[in-house]
Amino acid sequence: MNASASLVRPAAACLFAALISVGAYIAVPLPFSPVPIVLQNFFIILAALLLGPKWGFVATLVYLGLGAAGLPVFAGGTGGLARFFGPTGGYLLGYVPAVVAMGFLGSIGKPRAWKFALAALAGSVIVYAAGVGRLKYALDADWGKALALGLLPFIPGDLAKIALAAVVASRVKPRIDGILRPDGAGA
Amino acid sequence: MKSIEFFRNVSIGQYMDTRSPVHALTPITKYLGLLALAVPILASVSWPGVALSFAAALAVSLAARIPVGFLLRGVKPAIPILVFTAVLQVVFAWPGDASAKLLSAGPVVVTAMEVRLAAMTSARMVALMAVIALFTSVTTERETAYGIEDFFAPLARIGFPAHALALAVAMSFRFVPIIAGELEAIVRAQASRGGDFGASGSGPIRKARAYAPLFVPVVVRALERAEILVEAMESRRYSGANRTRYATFKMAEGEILVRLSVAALGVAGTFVGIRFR
Repeated sequence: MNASASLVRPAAACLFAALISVGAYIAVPLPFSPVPIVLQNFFIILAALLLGPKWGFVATLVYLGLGAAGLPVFAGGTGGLARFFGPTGGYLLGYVPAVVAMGFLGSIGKPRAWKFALAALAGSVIVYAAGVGRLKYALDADWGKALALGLLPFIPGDLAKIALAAVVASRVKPRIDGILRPDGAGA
Repeated sequence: MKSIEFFRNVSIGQYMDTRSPVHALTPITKYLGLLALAVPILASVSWPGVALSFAAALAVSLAARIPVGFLLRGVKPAIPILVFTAVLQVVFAWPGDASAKLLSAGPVVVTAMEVRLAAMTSARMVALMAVIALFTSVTTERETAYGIEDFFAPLARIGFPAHALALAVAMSFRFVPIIAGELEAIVRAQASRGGDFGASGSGPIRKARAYAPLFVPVVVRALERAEILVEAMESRRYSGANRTRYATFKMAEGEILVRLSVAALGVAGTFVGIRFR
C-alpha cells in the first residue's frame, strides 16, 4: 500500500505550494501591531523546515510560478509577473535563496524547536535583505527610510510567525517521517 | 470568529461559462491573448500603452460576454496594496523632479510628477488585474494546466519539464480551495470546543503557541493528502508525460488568424507603450 517515495515528495511540494497560496489569503490581526500578519511566509518557512532544502525550494518555485502565471496567490489576492518587478518584488525573489538556507540549517541534527527558530531567523534575514535592498533602489530612498518602511513594521509579526513555525515544525516533523521517508541523500 | 479572516471574495479561478466564441478558443490562443494584453502594461510606463490594453481587454470581455464589473471585483481586496504603493511614490522625492509643487507639509512635498506616477502605477496594476481576471473567467482549470504544457511543448523537446510543470500547477491550484476549507473547518471545530485564538496571552511567543493546535493538523493533513494523491495516481498507473488526455483541444476554423492578430496586437501595444511616453 505504500506510495512510492519518488512521487510523494513532489506531491508534498505541490500541496505546500497550495498551503502557501492559502496563507496569502489569511490575515491574522495582532493586538500589538497595526499591520495584520499574512501567513504566506509562515508556510514558506514550514515548507523549508519540513521538506528540506530541495523540495522546499520546489514548493516555493511552484508557488511563485502560480503567481507569475497570473493566478491571484500573492498577498492581498493579486498575482502577475509585474509583482516581481514592483517595489516589493525583492521579498518574493528573496524567498528562493532563503528557503534553501532554511532547509539546510533546519535539517542539521535532531529536530528541535529552537534550532528551527534559528534557521527561520536566518532565512528571514535573507528575505529582508533582498526586500529592503530592492525597496531602497526602487524608491531611491536612503537606508533609514527603506528600513522604516520595509522592515520595522513587520518585525513583531515575523517574530511571532517564526516562533509559531518552529513550534509547528517540531511537532509535525516526527509525525510525517512515515510519509516523507528520507531517500538517502540529506534530509 | 472575527479573529481569523478568510478572504473569500477573490476572483481566484473564477470561470464564467457564457459559451462565447472566446471561450471556445484553444488554451494556447488564450495564453497568447494574456501575454498580448499583459506585456504592454508591464513594459511601458505610458498612458497610451495602458489605455490600449484596457480598451482591448474591454473589447474581449464584450465578445466573451463577461460583465466588466466581474473583472474589477478582484481589485477590491488589493486596494490596501494599491494605496500603500501610491503613498510610497508620493512620500519619497524623485531625483531630478522639477515639476510643480502641489502641497508641502513638513518634510513631505507632493509634486505633480509624484501624483502622476502614483496614478500611473495604480492604473497599471488595476489594468493588469482586470486582464488576469478576464483570462481566468474564460479559461477552465483544465485548460490552464494543459495550456501550460502545450505552450511549452516546443521546449519539452530540449528537456524542459513541460508536463511536470503543468501537473504541478494543476495539482497545487486545485488544492487551494480544499485546504482553505479544511483550515476553516478546523478553526470552527476548535472554537466550538472553547479554542481561543488571539484573544488572550501576551508576547509573540505565547501567541504563537496558541495557534499551534490550529496549524499542526492543517499541515499534517496536507501531507497525508499528498500521500493519498500519489497512491491514487499510482493505482491508476500514472506514468508521466506519455499519457493520453481525456480532453483534447481542436483549433477552430480561422483560429490561426486570431492568433496572428493577437500577437500583432501585443507587439503593437508594446511598441506604442515604449515609443509614446
